[in-house]
Amino acid sequence: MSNHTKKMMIAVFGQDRPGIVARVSGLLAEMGCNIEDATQTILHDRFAGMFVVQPVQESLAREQVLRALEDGFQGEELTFWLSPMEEAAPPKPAQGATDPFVLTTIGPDQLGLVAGVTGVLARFGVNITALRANVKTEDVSQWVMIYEVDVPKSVDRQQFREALHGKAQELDQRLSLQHRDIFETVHRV
Amino acid sequence: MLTEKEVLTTLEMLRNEHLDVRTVTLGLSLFDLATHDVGRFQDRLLSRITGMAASLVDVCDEVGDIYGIPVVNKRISVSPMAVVGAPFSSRELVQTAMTLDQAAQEVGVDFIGGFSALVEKGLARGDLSLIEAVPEALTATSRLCASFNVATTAAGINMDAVLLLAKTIKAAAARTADQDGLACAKLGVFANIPQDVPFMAGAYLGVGEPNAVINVGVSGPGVVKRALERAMEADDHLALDEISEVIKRTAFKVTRIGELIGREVAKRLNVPFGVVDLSLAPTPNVGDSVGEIFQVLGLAHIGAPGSTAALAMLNDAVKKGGAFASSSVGGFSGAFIPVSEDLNIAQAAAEGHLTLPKLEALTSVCSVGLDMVALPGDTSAETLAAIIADEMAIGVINRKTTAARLIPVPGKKAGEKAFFGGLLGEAVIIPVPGSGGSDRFINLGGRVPAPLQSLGN
Repeated sequence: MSNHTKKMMIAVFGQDRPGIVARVSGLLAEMGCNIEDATQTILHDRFAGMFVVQPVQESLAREQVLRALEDGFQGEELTFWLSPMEEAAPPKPAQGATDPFVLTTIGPDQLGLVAGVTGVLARFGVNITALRANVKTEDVSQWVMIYEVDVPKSVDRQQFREALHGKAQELDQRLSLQHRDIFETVHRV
Repeated sequence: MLTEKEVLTTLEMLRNEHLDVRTVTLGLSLFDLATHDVGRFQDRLLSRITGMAASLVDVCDEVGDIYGIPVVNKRISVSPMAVVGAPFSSRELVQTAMTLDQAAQEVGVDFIGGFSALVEKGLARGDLSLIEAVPEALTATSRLCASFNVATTAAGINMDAVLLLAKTIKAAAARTADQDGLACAKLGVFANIPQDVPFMAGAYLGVGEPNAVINVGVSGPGVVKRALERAMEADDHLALDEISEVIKRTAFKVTRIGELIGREVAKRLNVPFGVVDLSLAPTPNVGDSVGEIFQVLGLAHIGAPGSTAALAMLNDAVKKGGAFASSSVGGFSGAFIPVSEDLNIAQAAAEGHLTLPKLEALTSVCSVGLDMVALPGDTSAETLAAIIADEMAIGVINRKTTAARLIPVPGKKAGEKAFFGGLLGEAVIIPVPGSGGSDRFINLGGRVPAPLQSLGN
């Protein structure tokens, strides 16, 4: 495999139905694109998938790949997006040592909920590694948001917690911040 | 990535089901402090405890904060004072009791245990001095707890010690008559006491334990109750073996939490980790009761026929879940049924559903024993001794721990209420059937010989 061939990231969005991943991966295989990483989810019955692929042939242009995918799903309301990836990813901003925490908010849905909470996270240099909104619970009036975050060890946890609770109060949410280990310890043998 | 269910069920256990780490207990050995000079001993005692436990409360709070699981009680247990302070007179032992109390106060722990003696086979001079000191020591202090092991399966029951302690309980009650005999709530009489108990009043640091150790007591009657309610709502044909499975899985989760927090506290204090004691220890709060579990299981109240079978299943399932969760399960690890500390049990006793004989029967299959039972103030020492002896016999024959924490409430009769305050709760005084009929038997004294270890039946 040539080092010069650029990896690509392909995103696929559209109405969810059986067979999307099979056909996308089939088309990619036909073009000689090796899938190196992939993830998919369903949000409100919409399919959202992402694939990192490595073309085997140096000559394969990204326009070709995009066209082949769009032609393969013609008339099926599926949107594709494609972007080349640099061989060496740009260095992540230096963050030092972190601790994994899980942040949850529970309360009524409202405008600015995610923005409010993530604004505090950003201010303290806390990176979000996974986020799920609108987790279903028995009480439909209560919205649950789960953020998995990496908190730098250098952060003053007391100040961080106070800032989060202050924001949660503003947003009428019950907030909890717990080290990730507690969830793994309880549930995983 | 964590699943939504993993996150939400953990939050639920904390928020609505009273899951907490009930107690982190720092065990401290005092043997190397021994001296015949009581003043010197007190100085050493104070500096050892305030030195070693200086950051205990802060560390527990910090670890509790990180994991979002509160550590409710921080405690200290020390080597049995009757051994460490064997040369001292009872007056001097009262002084050391006050030093222990002062040390507990200085480091901010709510109880310190270890004003204890192990007398299952006989009473040495130090033991006698200590027992003599108990009524005044428990009256003059607020945080000190005393425990006495008077019986083991290997040694039998020391009936002389049983009677002596019954008299001591009467004296301790008399000294705290204005507080309904509160001193007795800080005194437990045991058979087969474990050396690593983190729960009071039984906590002391055994002779076979290391220099310092962190033991953790996790509780979770509320979590077990809710897990059962959920399972039974989802399937109203759930059979007892399936119910036992639910309890087992819940006990597993609770034990894992205890171990994680205990190990983290131990690491930060640079002290070895000892055991998790997984006991269903109730508090006087609605929703945090062992008694309520009986009602979820379909019994009208704890004490109704079937209660012993239900408790046996509950206790066994808790142990099975705990044993799988950790190799370091110790202490009592079972269900407590302290009458005054459990709102639901106290109510069943007040309404006459739960009698002293039924309580005794329940203790044959559960963790501790006749715990926080308020009795009429005029119950004689001989009758108290007989009740204790019965409880000890259950432990000795069944090779398990049992205990009695009895409170003869001065000046009050059966049906009246005793108030102990805080976690110790309140209870209606229950009658003692056949009271006064054991004097001759108890006064025979001596030792009930150790039971045969073979031919088990």
